[in-house]
Amino acid sequence: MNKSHFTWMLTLFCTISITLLVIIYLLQQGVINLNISSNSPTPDKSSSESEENAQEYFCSLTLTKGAVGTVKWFAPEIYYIEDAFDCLIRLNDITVTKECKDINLTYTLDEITDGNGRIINDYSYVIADITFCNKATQPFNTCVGSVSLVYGELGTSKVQLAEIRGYDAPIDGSLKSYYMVTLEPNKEYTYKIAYVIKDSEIEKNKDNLAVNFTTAYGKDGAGTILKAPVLYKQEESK
Amino acid sequence: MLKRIISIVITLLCVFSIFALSTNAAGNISDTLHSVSAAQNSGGTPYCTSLRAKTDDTSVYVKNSAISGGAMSCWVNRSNSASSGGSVDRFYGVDAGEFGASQNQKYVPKGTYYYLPNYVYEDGYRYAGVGFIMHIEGVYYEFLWSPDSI
Repeated sequence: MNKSHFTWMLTLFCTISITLLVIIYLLQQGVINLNISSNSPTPDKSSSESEENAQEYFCSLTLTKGAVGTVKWFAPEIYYIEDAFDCLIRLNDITVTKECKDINLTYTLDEITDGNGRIINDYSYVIADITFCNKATQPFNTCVGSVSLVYGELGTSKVQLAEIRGYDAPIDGSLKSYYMVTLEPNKEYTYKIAYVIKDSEIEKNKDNLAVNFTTAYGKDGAGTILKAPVLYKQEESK
Repeated sequence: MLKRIISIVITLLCVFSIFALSTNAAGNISDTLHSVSAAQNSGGTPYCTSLRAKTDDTSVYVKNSAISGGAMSCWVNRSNSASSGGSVDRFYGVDAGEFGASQNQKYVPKGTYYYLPNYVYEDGYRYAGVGFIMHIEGVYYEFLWSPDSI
């Protein structure tokens, strides 16, 4: 094998290897998806008599610092109240910081950070320390991305809302499903969820920071529907 | 010799391109879940998710993972405030009241996903949401969505 042949083979090998690595990386990050789906209209055959009789109510639970909320869940396919169970949600603490240690941010907007994630312009992280506890006998999945920061005139239409930027769980799978978590029965899960808002907004609303949990997820690990929200809510002081 | 140098340079460029793909470069692609019952809005009534930050000009992703629900029709709403309901993106025409967006609504059957084209980012808006109409009443819907995609 002469030198030019060797060089050509080496180049080909490197190109193929790198291409495969890039594809694997993008698949892991969820940037590309090999799942094939039809977007064309098809007849809908999903309804059934029991489903058509089901009625639930939208879940919206707002918690201020130190408050505990309980969300009731039940299976709409069965629609028995006896199947209801509790998911306890507690806002342990809510802090404002320029640092963002141990939190994996999924994207950035107007905030400017140094190399260590410290914000150096007029924005700050608001970190909500939240505990979930599934009081049921079965595990279920929920979405930490459904927890929003709310501030300003709480309980009114003028309330301001900030979207999750990341939390303290490792990104060990697809970024696409990063916000989904599985809650085992009677086990507490505490997450630090990060939001970013302007310092001027924090200054104005430092006594009116809260979180709002609006939706939930009801499938077990195998994708089977277990429970779905929502029967009602209740709030109590810690 | 020159070919070998070129091959090494190409190899290094390929390797560096991998590390250039950070999570931030992916945009706001993580899904959040929206759940709602058709009974709540009487079915057939236009509804919209809360708005999320739009970081690039990619399509909005929506996956209909309905539990007891069926198909839904979707479009994109946009705003410069995360706290507002937003208005219909121009790709989908205008707000047609009880009919939702006036054009280009996307039919998303249960269990499928769709990438919704939009002009949110190009037109200078910061936030996007999914407007939708549920096709079956008295049932429970949920869907996953993200404002950006790749």
